[in-house]
Amino acid sequence: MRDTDEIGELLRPLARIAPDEPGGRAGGARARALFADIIAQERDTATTVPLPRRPHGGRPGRGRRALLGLTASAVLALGVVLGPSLAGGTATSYANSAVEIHEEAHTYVARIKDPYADQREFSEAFRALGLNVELKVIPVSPSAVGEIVSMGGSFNATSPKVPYGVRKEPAGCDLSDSACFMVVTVPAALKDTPDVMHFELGRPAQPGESYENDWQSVTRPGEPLAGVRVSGRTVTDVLAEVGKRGLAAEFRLVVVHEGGYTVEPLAADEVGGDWIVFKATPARAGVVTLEVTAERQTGLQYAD
Amino acid sequence: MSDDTHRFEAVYRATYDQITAYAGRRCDSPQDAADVVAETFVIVWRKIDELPPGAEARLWVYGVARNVLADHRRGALRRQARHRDLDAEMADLYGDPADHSVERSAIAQAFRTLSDDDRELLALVAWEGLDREEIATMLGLSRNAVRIRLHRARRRFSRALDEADVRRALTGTVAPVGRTL
Repeated sequence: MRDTDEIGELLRPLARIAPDEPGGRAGGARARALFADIIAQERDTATTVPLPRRPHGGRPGRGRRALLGLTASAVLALGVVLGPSLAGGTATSYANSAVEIHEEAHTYVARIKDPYADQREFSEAFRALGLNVELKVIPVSPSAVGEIVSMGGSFNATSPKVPYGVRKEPAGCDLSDSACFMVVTVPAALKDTPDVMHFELGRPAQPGESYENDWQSVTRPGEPLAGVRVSGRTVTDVLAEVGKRGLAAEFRLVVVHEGGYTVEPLAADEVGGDWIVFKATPARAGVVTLEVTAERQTGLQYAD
Repeated sequence: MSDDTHRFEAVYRATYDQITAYAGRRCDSPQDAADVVAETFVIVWRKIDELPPGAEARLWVYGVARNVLADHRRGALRRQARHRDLDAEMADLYGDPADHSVERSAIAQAFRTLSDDDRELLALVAWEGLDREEIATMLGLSRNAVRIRLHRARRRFSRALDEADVRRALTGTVAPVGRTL
C-alpha cells in the first residue's frame, strides 16, 4: 500500500487549483463585494435561519431579458462622461442608455432610464464616476415596486450614516407608466473610496414574469394575502384563503438542514391537504408559492 | 462596525482564499464553486456566534463549506444570482486546463472510483494540507476514527491504482508539470 506521502505526490497534480495556490484574493474587489453583500443580510441567531432564496429551474422571461441586455450593451456600449477629466477623477456626471447620474448637493443622483437594462450598465456608469455601486433592478410583487428590496454595503471610509435612498420622479407617479422613473441617491463621500454599496430595486413585473423578491412574504400589506395567517396552518386551510381571493397556488418543499433551509420543486399532486404551510411567497401575478412540509418541523420558526 | 462584523471580517479575510480553492477543487463548474463560496460565508455570517476561537475557526469554516458542498451535490442549493463577479473570479481559475498526461488521467480515474468520503479525506490531506487532528476537528470525529478511515481510504486508492496499473507513476514520470508543489 502506498504511504501518505506517495499518495500526496499522486494527488496534488490533480487539484484544479494547486495546493498552496490561493483560490482567490480576500482583498480583491470581488471578495470585497461578496463581503459587503453578506454583511448587509439580516442575521438571525435562532437555530434555523431562513436563507434568502432564488427559485429553482428556469425563470420565465429571463432569457428575453438577457437578450435585451446584450443588444443594449452591444449597440450602446459607449457612455458619455461629462466633466473636466475622467482620469483626474473629477467627472461629475455620466450617462448611458440605462442610467443618467449627476452630482447634486453632496450626493450622486442616478435616474434609471431603462429598468430592463443589463446590471453591468448601471455598474459601469457608477464606476466611471469613481463610485462602487452595484445596482440591480428586479421584477417584484406589488408591495415592493419602487422600493429598495435589498441594500447593503461596507463603509470603512465613509460614515455609516451616509444619505441614500430611492424615490420616484415625478413624485408619486406609477412605475408602470413609461414617464415615471426611479431615482437612486448615493452619498458623494463614496467617491474614490473602496466602500461598496449595493442595491436591488423593485420594478413592476411584466405579464407572466416571475417575481424575484420571492423570499418576501405575501402576507405583507399590499400583497394579495395581506394580513392572512398562513404559517403553521394546513395546506387545505391556506388553499381556501388563496381560492377566496381568486389566486392560484404552487408548492415548494421546504428542506431543513444545518444553517437554514432550502426549497425544492414540488408538484401539486404530491402535496397532502394535511401538510403544513411554512410560508407563502409571491410567484407571479395571481400566483403564490406555498412553502410546505409533510409534517410540522421543529427546526422551522412558524409565524403562528 | 459591530464586534460581530469585525469577527466575520477577520475570519473572512483569513479563510476566503482557502475556501475558494476548496470549492474550486471540488466543483465541476466555476458557477457552482462561486455558489458554494457565497453560501458558505452567508452561513458563517449567520452563525458567527458559534465560530470557535483561534486555529479552530478555519477548520469550522471548512466544515461549513463541506456541508454546503454536500447540499449542492444534492441539487438543493439555490443559484446566487447576485455573485456574477465571483463567478468571473472562479472562471479565471478554471481557465487553466489541467495537464492531461496518460498517467495523470489514470490516477484521476482511480481517484474517481473511490467513495465521496474516501476522496474527501485524501484530498483534505493532499490538497488542503490538513493533518489528522485538523481533519478530526473539522469533521467532528475522533483522531482514531480519522486515522482508521484515512488508512482504509489509502488502501482502497492504492488498490484502485494497481488495477489501473499506475505503478509507473511512482517513478516520477507523473511529476507535475507547470505547477509548483
